[in-house]
Amino acid sequence: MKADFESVGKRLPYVEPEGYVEDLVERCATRALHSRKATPSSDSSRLPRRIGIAVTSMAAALLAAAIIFPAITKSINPDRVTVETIAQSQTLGDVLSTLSNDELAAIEYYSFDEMPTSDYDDSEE
Amino acid sequence: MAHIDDDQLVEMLKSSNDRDRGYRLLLAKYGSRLYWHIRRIVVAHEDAEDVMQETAINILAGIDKFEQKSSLSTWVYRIATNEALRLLRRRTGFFQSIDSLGETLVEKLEDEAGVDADAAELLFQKALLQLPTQQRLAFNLRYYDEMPYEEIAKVTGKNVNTLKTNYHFAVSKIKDYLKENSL
Repeated sequence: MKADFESVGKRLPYVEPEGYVEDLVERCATRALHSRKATPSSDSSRLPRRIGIAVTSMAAALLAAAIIFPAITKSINPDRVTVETIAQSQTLGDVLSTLSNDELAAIEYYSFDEMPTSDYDDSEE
Repeated sequence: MAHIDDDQLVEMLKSSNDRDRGYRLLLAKYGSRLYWHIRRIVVAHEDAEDVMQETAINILAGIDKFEQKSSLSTWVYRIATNEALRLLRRRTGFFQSIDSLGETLVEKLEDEAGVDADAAELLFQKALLQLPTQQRLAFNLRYYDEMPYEEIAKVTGKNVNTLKTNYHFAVSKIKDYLKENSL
């Protein structure tokens, strides 16, 4: 065989039956026309669908955040104690009972007369 | 089919009344050439059918966007080429180039050709499938479809000088392959 491909010409080593390709093309055209008619894709029909997708996505994201965020917080600080929690659960007596005698002695209580008053106190002297 | 020129076809495609008829005439005029162009790229008959269907759908969907910056034939060839390459890309792995599909395509070629195939024709096609995709594409469009380089450039999105180089290398590699593997 010559090394020149021109001698082979443009034939391919396979053929399709007579008229097959023309029929295939015709079928493809018909299907394309049918599929276009079955699924009209005008902008007016696409817009509400896009809005729907955007709203659904946002709602899903918010829901996920609402579920995941507290779960993450709880896993990071399972014994989370806030100032409010202490104030609600411990009386002054409970707090004072945890102090040593020296610490108690170091606390200087105000006498009634020494109680600080507000600068905006409207009582008459 | 009566001869109809591209200007008449474009006029029909742009008219809402004649669009469907124009579309059928367009495919009747170019469909067969597009099929064989696709077949030479993807090799397998079933793949060529799938790509032909996608091409027909994309041509119909793109008629409104066709601005006549290129000829009608260039435009439809471009769509067919892109669809054929898209199918090959789907057949590759994540980091794999479509150039690596040569062996797979040769296997498909042997399946399609059968035992009675002409040995010289088969060898020539095997030589073509050894080429990198861009060289194979440039060769096919130039040799089989007899397109001028300027038109091939519009179909492939490459520049004319690159395509001339691609064609030159393709011819040289095909000749070498045929010499090495001659019967």
